[in-house]
Amino acid sequence: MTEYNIGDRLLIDDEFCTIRYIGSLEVWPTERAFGVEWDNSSRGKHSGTFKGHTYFQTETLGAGSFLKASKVKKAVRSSFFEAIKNTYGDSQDDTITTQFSSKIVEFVGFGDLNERNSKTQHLETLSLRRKNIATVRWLNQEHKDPYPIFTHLRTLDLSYNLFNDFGDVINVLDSMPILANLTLDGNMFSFPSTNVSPHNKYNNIRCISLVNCHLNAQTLNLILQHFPRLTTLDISENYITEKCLETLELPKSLKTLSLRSSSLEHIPLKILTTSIEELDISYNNITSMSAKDYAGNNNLNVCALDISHNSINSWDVLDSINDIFRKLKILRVNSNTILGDDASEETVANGSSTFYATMARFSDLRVLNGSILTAELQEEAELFFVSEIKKGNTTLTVHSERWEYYKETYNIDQIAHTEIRNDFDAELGGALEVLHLTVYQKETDIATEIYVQPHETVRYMKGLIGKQMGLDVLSMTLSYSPSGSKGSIEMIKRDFSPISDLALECGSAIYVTDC
Amino acid sequence: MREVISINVGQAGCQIGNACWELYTREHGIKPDGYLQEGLSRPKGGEEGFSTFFYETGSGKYVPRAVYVDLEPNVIDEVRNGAYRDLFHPEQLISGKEDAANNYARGHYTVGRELLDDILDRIRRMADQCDGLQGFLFTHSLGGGTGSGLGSLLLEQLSIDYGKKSKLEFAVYPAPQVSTSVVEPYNTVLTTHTTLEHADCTFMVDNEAIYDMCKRNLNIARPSFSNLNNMIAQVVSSVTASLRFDGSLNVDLNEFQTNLVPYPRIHFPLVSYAPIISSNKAHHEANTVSEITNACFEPGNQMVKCDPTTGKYMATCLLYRGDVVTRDVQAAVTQVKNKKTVQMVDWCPTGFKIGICYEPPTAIPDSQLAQVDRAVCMLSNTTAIADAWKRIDAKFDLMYAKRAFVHWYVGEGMEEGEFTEAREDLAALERDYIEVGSDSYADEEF
Repeated sequence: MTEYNIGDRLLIDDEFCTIRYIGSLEVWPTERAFGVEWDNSSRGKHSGTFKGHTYFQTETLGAGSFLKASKVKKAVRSSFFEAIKNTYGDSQDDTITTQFSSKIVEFVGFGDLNERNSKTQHLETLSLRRKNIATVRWLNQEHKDPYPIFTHLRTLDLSYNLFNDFGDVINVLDSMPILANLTLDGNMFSFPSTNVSPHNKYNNIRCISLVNCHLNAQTLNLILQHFPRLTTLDISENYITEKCLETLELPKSLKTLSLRSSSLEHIPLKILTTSIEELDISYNNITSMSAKDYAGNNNLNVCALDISHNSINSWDVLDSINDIFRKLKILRVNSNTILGDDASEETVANGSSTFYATMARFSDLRVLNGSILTAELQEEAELFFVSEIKKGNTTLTVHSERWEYYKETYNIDQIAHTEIRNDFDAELGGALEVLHLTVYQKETDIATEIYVQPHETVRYMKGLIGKQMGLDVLSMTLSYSPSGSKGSIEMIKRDFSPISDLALECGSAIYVTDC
Repeated sequence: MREVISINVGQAGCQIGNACWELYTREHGIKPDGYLQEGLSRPKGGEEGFSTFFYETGSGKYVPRAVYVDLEPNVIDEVRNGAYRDLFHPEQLISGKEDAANNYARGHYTVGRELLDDILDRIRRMADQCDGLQGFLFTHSLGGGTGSGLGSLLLEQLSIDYGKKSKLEFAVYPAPQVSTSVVEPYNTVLTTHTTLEHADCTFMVDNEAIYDMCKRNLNIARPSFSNLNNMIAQVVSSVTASLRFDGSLNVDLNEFQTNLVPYPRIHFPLVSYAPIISSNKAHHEANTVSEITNACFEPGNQMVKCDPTTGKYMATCLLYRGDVVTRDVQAAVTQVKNKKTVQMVDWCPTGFKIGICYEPPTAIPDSQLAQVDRAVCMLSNTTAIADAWKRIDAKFDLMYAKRAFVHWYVGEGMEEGEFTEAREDLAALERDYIEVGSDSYADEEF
């Protein structure tokens, strides 16, 4: 029924492929052979070379294979209008009653829904995902209806179809005067397109999604020229590189840009115009931000940033993000090398400490990793962070904005913190000093050893001695030889003075008399 | 006119109320100050549907038919000073000065009762503005003092004052992850006992289930109460959508309610919602009608943690929202039918009811939920939900065996007998569920 051309797209056994060769193959003398390149390259068997003869060359190595015409014919291909008609139109079969075991399934209001949906031209949303649409023209010659105008259509989803010519999509847009959202995910367009003038502009379209369309800067620019007033653009999963971004011409009005699963290694500051408010660069290989783009970008308006699932491995990057994106309110940084995996966040203490530390590094966040933050939580995080800095467990980039803030508010100085720590150590160390003393009883010549701390009292020491030697605290007198007194013996008289008043050293001897 | 008055009680109730009204105003095209968004001449949703939840003042401002009640001022002060302060009339926000301290007895008997007349008076005034009051929609928690105590007190009083007007509840079931007090099991059992006679339909929302959804499906590292409440609001909005949007496409919730509640006590439908996906995963998921329908039968999409494969379904309602076509729905139902895990009781003649609301759901910014073209909310009366009662009863027994913390309740003038009475009632409820789930064998035996 239809003729196939090289470059046509097919969906066979749930896998997309592109026709690269049509002709004969020695092993199938009676049938036409189609050489195809699979989108999923592991589905392929070779690169277009079969038994020493090269029939075509695939773009990805090993992604090609040959199919019999009979198999290709089974693959469904429909046109845009047929797909609409099949999906939304004529569903007169609502008389069929569905039964659930012995019970009848009641449908309420579906008659009206059918009626509403059958007026396809008045629908506001058309979802035609995976409907095998290959073209906009009627494939079947019997239909000669004129193109309808979709007066109310605002949202059109054409993702994962078999479009080949971008001009087809552009042509259909002419019949949709108020369309605002267009989804074209998973279609592989070939360029340059034949039947489209670059001067066709669609000012009403605000959101376009072009996920997984195998686009590069050149082809993207060809598409974007038609949509000068875009506010939202999703070009994720196109493996766009930084080099590619340099030649990309984004619309001036763009507010939201998604570059998920691209091949970026730095935060792409250069492409950020002042209009961009939301940036999604998750699932990349970002390690840092390129320093040369750093300066001169003071008027960024990005308030939502998603850099989760990247390879950021230094807190300094986060500090500089806070310095550069001054209006940042919503941030996702989970699943980065520095922060550990989400999966390993089982240990609550560990997990919350990174969470708090991340929160405290930013000036004015409203949402972090999806959690809506409260003022109390933020204050808690700051205090926790300050204590961590004081302990020396973490560092903050010196002279970053946040550093200045903490310095002012909490009196923290990056250099001072080491001193504080030393003082603290000295104090703590002093407190923990232990005197090791040997005790001799004069009458019996029994000796024993005790450990006391200098701040404890003589009475406490007597108690220890009494316990070990079986003596009564009240009836014992102690004497010792003060260090540096060359052997002279002194009585210890004041029971409630601290041991540190006595000139005792580690290893000194104490003499006990029981009266 | 079929007006509905929303009554939000206690901290949880008020905060969920906030999230819900934020969502409602967005769905109907109203700004936070109560006026219409630019470019709209009338609010979205049709005159009749819209006026069930809002009324229009002389100045063209739209005011929610809602009352906020709390025994302490903090949460309501946030409403008074928050972004939506101009939306509400000051009379709609009622706060006391002394909190219920997580104590059902304080909410129900001592502190709560002092505020009761004032609250009933304000509700009465709001009801007088309605042409044909349809009923009340309660949001409160089962575990907190105000939510459980004052909530049940109000339900009792409204039963007396407004007779047969229907009363729907959204009740937050306590979860250990986000627990605020140890006496939650006491409060839950006591309030369930009191309201069992008075509420017509109670949709339970288990904080633990919502918490897991936020963590797993929305990839939220540490779900906060705001995250949980936004999620709950989405579900509440789906259930009430059929009341708020009119037109022949939208079914009446009452019609569903009749189907869902075969016995007055068995009025706790399990709510499931799909799709729950975060905005940056939305592209990978196709969200077809059959996928979201199937997801509704997965435990991960249920608002209460229980295993529906162990129970039997008495009635199931599916409420689709947004862009769906009949054929897809029929195909999806056939798919579910082939699941061996879905078992129906034998005595109920109708099992499945399916409705649609043409308005697609709206996502609250910051909620992490993706903006989608279609969604489905399933309300099913399954015997599996008795698991939730079993869990809370077990916790109750553990503490009550030692009479732990009971003195706090007795100190507020409650009698210990009320504990035993409430616990027995819940035990009876558990037995009721076993009974409705058992086969009747009416045809084979005499």
